[in-house]
Amino acid sequence: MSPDYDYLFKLLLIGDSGVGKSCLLLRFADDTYTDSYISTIGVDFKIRTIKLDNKTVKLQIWDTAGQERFRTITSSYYRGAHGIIVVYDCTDMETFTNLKQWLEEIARYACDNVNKLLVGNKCDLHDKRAVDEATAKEYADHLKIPFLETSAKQATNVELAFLTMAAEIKNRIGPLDGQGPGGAADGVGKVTIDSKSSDTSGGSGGCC
Amino acid sequence: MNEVPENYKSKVDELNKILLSKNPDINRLRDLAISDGGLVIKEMTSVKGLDLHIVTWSMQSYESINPIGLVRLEAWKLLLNLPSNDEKLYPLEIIKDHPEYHQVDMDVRRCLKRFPPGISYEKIGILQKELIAIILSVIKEYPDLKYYQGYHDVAVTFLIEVGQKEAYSIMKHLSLHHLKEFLKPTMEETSYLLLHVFPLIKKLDPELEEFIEKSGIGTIFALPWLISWFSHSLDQHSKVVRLFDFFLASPKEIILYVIAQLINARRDEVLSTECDMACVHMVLSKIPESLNFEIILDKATKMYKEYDLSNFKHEVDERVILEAKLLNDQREENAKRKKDKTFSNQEQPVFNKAFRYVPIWIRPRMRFGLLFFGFSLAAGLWAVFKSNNN
Repeated sequence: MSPDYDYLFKLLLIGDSGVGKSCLLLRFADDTYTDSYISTIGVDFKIRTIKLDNKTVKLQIWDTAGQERFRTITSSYYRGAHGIIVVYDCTDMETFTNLKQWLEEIARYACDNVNKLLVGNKCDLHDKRAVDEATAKEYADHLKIPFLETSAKQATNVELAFLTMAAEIKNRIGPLDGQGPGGAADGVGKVTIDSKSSDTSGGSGGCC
Repeated sequence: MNEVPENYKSKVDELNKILLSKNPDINRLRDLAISDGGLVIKEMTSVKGLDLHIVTWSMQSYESINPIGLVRLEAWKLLLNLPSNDEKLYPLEIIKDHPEYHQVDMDVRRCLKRFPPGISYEKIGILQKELIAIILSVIKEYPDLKYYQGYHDVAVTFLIEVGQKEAYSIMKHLSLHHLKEFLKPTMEETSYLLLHVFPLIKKLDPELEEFIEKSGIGTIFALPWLISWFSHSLDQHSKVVRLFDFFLASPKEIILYVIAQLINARRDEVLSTECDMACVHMVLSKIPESLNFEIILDKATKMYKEYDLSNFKHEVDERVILEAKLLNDQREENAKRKKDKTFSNQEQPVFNKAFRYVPIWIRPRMRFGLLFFGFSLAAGLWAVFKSNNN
C-alpha cells in the first residue's frame, strides 16, 4: 500500500504547564479553541496533513504534560522527533526563564540536528504581557532558533508556527531520495523517524 | 422516573438494609460495590434528617440532588473505615501562599468538563474554589506529598458526590493509601507500577503483549488512567463514580488488572492497526463510550485472585533495568555526539584537515612534523650519498 503522504514529520510540543501547548495543537489540528481545555497528563497527539512546495507533509504532533514531575517519562518522546516547539507564556515571565531548562532537556534527549522553534503564546493578552517580544527575539537569535509570538485563542501565527517548523525540517532533510526531476516520490523516499525500531516506520500509510 | 431498574431492585434493598443496620456487614457491602452496577445509587431521599436514608433511583438533574449523595458517602466511609471527623480545611489566605497553588489553580480552572451537565456556571465556580481548598489542604497537611496533575480529577469526583468536607476527609485517607505512590516527589514508583501491565497482558494474550511491546508505545498512554482512576479519561460522570465504588471496595493494586483487562478487551482493534507507536496510541488512549466496564471489572477481580502482583516482580525488574539502560545509552550517545560535533566544529587549519584522511599512526604530532620528517629524510639521504662517495 502506498502512503498518502510524501513526508511524515514528528513534532513535539514542550514547555511549562499552562502555557497553551494543547490549545496551540487544538487550534492547528482542529481549528477550535476553548478556554478551559483539560490539562494533559502524559502525552497525546494529533495529526494534520499540509501541502508544502507541492509535497504532502503529514505532521504528527505530540503534546506533552508540562508539570515537572512528568519530564522524565516524556523525555523518551524527544528522540523520535524531527522538530521540537518550545512554548512559553507571554504573560508569565517564569515560563520564559524556564526555557533554559527545556532547551537542556532537548540537548540531553533529542537528536543533535533536531529543528527547534521558540513560541511565545497568549500574545493577545496585551494588558498582562510580562515578556517583551524584543527580549524573546534576542534570546532566540542568540540561540539561532526561529521565534514567533502566537495566540491560540485568536488563531494568530499558529498556522505559521507549524508551517515554519515543517519548512525548516524539509529544508534540512532535502529532496526525497529516488525522486527524478518532476517525478513523484514512491514508497522508498518516505521520510519518517523511527520511534523505536526502524522496521516499524515508513512502508505503509499508517492508521491516522 | 423514580423506578429502580428491575435488575438492581434487590441490590438496592440489600444496600438499604446494610446502611441502616447498627452493625453493617462491610464484607457484603464490599461485594455489592464491586459487583455489577456498583452502589447503583443515583439519589437518596433523606427522611428525618440523617437518621434514615432510603436509596431511590432517579434520573433527575444534578441540581435537584440536595443534600448530595449521603448514602454513597455512608457506604464509601464504611468501605474505607473512615471515622467521622470535623477537621477544618485551611483558609484561602493560607493556601494561597503554597508553592503548588498556581499549578492547582490552573488545573482546577481547566477541569470544567468534569462537572456533569445540569450544574450552573455559578455553582461550578463555587465548587472550583472548594476543590482548590481540598487539594491544597491535603498537600499542606502532609508536606511529603507532592501534587500531581490528575489528583484534581480524583478530588473533583468526590467533591461532586459528597461535598467539600467529606471529600477532604476521603482525599486525606486516599492520599496516604491508594494514591500514595503517585504523590511521591518523582514518578519513579508510579512508572514501576505501570510496568506490571505488560506481564499482566502477556498472561491474557501473549500475541497482544508482543504487538504492543513492539509498537514502542510504552506505558504512558495508561498513565492518566492509573493516577486519576480513569476520571481524567472518561466523559460520563456516572461511569467514573461506578469505577470509584469498585476501587474503594477493592485492593489498591486492582487498577493495574483493570488496565490490563481493558486493553485486552480491545485486542481486535489494537491488532488490526499498524504496529506503530502513534497508531497504537491512537486506538488505546481513547476509551470508547460503548465499552462495557462491568465485564472488565469482573474479569479484573477474578484475575487478581488468580495472580498476585508479586508473581511479576522479576519480569518487571528486568524491564526496569532494560529501560534504564536504553535511556542511559541514549544519553551517552547524545553526549558523545555532541562532544564529537564540538570537536569537529572547532576552527582547524587546512593542514590539519588534510590529515583527516591519513591513518592516525602516521599523523605527525605537531604541525611541523612533516617538515622535520622531510628534513631528517634529506639529511639521511645526504649522509648515505656522502658515505657512498667516500
